Amino acid sequence: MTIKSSSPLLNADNLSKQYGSVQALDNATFEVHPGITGLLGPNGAGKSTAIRIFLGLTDATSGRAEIMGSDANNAETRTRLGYMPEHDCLPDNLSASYFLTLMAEVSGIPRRRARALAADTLRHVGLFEERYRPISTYSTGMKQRVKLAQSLVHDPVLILLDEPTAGLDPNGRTEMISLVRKIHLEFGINVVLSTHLMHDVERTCDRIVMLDNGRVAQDAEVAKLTEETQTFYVEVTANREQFSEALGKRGIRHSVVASSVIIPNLSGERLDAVRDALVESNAPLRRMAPQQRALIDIFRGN
Amino acid sequence: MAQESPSRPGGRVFDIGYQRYTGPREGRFNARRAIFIDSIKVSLGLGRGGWAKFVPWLFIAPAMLVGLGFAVLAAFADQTLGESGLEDELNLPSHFDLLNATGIITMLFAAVMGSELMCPDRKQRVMHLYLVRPMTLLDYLASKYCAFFIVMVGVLLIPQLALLIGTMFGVDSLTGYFQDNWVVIPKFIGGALVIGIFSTSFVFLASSLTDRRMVAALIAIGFLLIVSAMLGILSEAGISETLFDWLQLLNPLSLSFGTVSGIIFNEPDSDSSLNRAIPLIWYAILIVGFTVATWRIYQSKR
Repeated sequence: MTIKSSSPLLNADNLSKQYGSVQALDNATFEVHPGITGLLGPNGAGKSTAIRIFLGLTDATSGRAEIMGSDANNAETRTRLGYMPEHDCLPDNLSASYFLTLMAEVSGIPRRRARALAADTLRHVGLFEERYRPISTYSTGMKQRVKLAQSLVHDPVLILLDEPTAGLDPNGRTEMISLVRKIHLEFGINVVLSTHLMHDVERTCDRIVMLDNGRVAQDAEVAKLTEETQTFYVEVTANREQFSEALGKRGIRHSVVASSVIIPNLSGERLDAVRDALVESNAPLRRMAPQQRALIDIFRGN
Repeated sequence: MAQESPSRPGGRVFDIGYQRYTGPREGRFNARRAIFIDSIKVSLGLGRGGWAKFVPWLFIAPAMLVGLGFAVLAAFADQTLGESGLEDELNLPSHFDLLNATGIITMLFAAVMGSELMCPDRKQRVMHLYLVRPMTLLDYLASKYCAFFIVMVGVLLIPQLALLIGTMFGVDSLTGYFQDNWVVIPKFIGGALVIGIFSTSFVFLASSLTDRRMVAALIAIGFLLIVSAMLGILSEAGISETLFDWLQLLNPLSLSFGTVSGIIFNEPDSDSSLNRAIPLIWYAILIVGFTVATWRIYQSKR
């Protein structure tokens, strides 16, 4: 299979999918480029449907889905694609080593090379020592790693991870997120991370495509979405009320929340006015910083 | 004198990091071959745990024992009874008789191991992982079908080969025997192929109805038993012979082992009032029907 280097990794062009009376995807148009891309949205937003269409597991009602410039229904295209589903998908009576070797072979890797790749991949996900144990004896975290490993074993160009941190404890989540970043930064494999966990996306992704009711609600770089706003947090250790009065005298709209004074639309001369209010009220300044937008706010439409 | 301590073998392990795979990728052909080989292993319990190994041989071993019993009889009947002239009167069992004697065992093997081959992939949702690789649903089903068909033919042929070898031991001249009886070899191969295709199609359809292997095996075995029992009751009830002959077509055991392979062995059912073409056409319709139904069910459950 030839990969068109100029093409986006994934291209959804007016993609729609109708399940009976339910419109799972509604003319969704977006592209996925190299890097880690978060596919975000609440349950029922159309994330899983979009992934299933790209994987050739279901057909779109209308529109076009392309993987690296080729039609998503072309089986050969999937030699360079990896997929880690959210649901359980592991045979419990096989060892991780046997299972990964089989998965590599099914991806088109010759048998002898498949064994070596399986062992290497299990080493990279931290399961080398346990590779001959039946998968049924693994913990939830280890099973998630096997699921991740099977998506990587054939050295794909792109992997689609569906809720990779589902069911993991906080430590397991942190490890999985580190692994996802490592896959891109060290292994050079591009990642699409489908999740509804904003924190995972903020920690991992370069770019997000946010779906809502089957439509694309946002398609932007995470850094731009979470860039600093003109709202400032000012924290003083004493004389907070005097500081509030001094701000009021200068006509600066603000609110007091817990130990912080929050001042919206602060820039230019108004910054000098805040400095003067601090001096006048004799309030010792601990911190003054612009507020960063959180993805969760964007997600909620704030 | 101070002795120099022998130097210990040493070495350092370097982590060379992730290595991109630059070897060949063989696409769909390799994928189909991998599923085919793995399916043969599953059907025979190879590379699996103790119980998975035990179950197929629970059926294969008795079938082989029956074959060996027939072989011993064929080998020593001539020496023991040859001079007394009783051999001709005893009417020693033929390859067709052996096929019928091992019929129920091989059908049980098909029901149990066919379900074992097909159901866990859907129950454990491993099938999704195959289908997101360079493999279509047709590739998947065809690879499994071919593998199980070959296993079934092997299970049917091994006792036949044992009988052939036993017979060879019992004859005075091998050349003379083969000159007179060479046709028996294509006949028992043909019989095994006919039964292999039928039993594989039958158990694949039963397995497509559920993702629980035990239930699938019970559906297949239950159908065989219920149909046989009902036909037995109807026969006792004194229904007309013509109607009974038509109803016999519903019995997979008598259709594949008795009628169709009987036609191949040129041992037509003397009791049947039906034209020979009718069971053959019905057999072909059933094979196509089972296969199309299996395909449609898998497509809908994909």
